[in-house]
Amino acid sequence: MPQTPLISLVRVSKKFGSGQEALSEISAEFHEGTITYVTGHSGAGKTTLLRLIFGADKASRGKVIAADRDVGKLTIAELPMYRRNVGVVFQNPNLIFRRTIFENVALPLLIDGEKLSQVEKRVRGALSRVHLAGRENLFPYQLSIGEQQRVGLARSIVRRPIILIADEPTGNLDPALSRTVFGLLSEYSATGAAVVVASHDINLVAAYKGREVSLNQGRAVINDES
Amino acid sequence: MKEDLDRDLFVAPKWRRRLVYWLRDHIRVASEVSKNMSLELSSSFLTWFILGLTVSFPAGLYLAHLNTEKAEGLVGLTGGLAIYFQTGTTESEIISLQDWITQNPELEVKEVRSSEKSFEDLLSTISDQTREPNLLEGIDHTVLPAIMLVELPAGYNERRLITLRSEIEEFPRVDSVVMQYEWLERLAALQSLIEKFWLLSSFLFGLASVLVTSISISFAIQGQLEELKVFHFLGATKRQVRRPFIYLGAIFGIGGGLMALFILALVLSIIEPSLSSLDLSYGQEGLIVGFDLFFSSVLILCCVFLGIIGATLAASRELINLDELVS
Ligand SMILES: Nc1ncnc2c1ncn2[C@@H]1O[C@H](COP(=O)(O)OP(=O)(O)OP(=O)(O)O)[C@@H](O)[C@H]1O
Ligand SMILES: [Mg+2]
Repeated sequence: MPQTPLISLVRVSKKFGSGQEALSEISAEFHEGTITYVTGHSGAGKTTLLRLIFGADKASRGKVIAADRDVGKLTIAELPMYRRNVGVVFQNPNLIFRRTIFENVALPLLIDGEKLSQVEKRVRGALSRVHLAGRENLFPYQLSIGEQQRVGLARSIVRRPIILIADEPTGNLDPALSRTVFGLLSEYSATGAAVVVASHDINLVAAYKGREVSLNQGRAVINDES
Repeated sequence: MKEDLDRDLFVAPKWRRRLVYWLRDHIRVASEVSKNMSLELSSSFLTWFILGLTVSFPAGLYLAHLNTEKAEGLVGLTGGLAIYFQTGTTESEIISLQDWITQNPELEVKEVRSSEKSFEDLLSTISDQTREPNLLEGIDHTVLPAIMLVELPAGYNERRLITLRSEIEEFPRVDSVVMQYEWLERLAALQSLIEKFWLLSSFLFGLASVLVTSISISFAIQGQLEELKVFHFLGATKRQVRRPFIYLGAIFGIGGGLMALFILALVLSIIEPSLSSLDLSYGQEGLIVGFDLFFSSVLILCCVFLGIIGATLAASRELINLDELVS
């Protein structure tokens, strides 16, 4: 790929306290319009890697560059602005249970200060993208886990972020639902975003087109198969 | 499709847009906070009540302070002037001052004592006490000054008294004017006591109300931590995360201030009849001065200020490391 990567990890290491390195000397690039699966057994450092990209943690050594900026060096004021361009999905959808589906998905736009007419339009668009149109006025507890996960996905893409990171987005889902979510993620990458998905489900990952960064004891093996 | 995505990752919006975003965020927060308040009215009411009680104490003392200033005019606290003439002042000179004083219907000349009379009084006092009638023999009988005692009506305030004194001192042959203002001094002492007490209690009770709001808001934050974590990872700024609680602090302040006003009005309506039965009233103004719109607005503003301080404290204590909650 000729263009400069949207995100690059440059010899990134992360060490917690006095323990062993969770990541050591990882270098990887993430381009617009691509999907990358980060795999590895439990404790391999998948979550740690995503947290570094999200700016929730700082690398012990090396740099995480996003759009030519060192994410670890963003100021307190810049970090939220950066995060508005990074959609996140976790294993737990982290929905707010006292708010409706509509309100949950609208949250990022309200945080941005978006016009209400625009909010309405975009929320409906995002919900129909995850096949949940018409459920706006329900509350999260009225939905199945798989549906809740898709609401989480809708919330993470409602801003149309250029970066989308997902940490075990299918952890709680049955195989069919997992495929739905993976399908949606890869669909989203096709719109031009850099999507990074952490998953320990090697079989599922193998079924989808995309690059694989496999973590093993803090080291990365990059497996280009697209 | 591709053009749809937001690509300017770090470009902060122009200030005009920022202002719009900021305003929209305030509107959002205001409507949310008021919605939440209406859901938890009973617990909010409790906080208002505690705040109101706390604040009403120094506010009441402040009113007391204002009103002792007014009390200079209370019946029974009259004062007077003693005018000392130079030796050798003639009867007619004294009378001309007396005439001038009696022109003012408020003033009453209680007594005029000529210098001879003063001497006689002194003589009789000395002979009473020493049984030595001839002690002052050979001394000039006009050695003592003539004195005029003037009584002031109730309500003669300190400033007018001082003016009157300097006017009298301008008169020829007047040697000195002594104000008999013990009551004023006593009142001033009382006033400064109340003032000190008021300032001290304002500080202590102000601190207490900051702590009360801060604790209430800490609980509110802890109850919403999950939600705040979500807000945070969705890119809300620190201020945005804090904003609802600052609003909550301000609302606690307004509620507490209103409650304090209510408590004060209640207390005043209870003590007012006893005050009037003591017949301490003077003039046309109401019994208690200072309990007016200005006082009420300042009180509420102070409470809002305290509420916001409490909220800020709570937020800075509770809202640390939201990132660690992200998982
Ligand atoms: N905050 C932390 N403090 C100390 N050690 C940590 C911290 N976060 C992660 N680690 C350690 O770093 C290593 C990698 O953890 P990480 O959560 O990234 O693994 P993972 O690949 O996401 O695992 P899983 O598949 O179970 O989610 C682990 O050994 C973990 O114990
Ligand atoms: Mg993990």
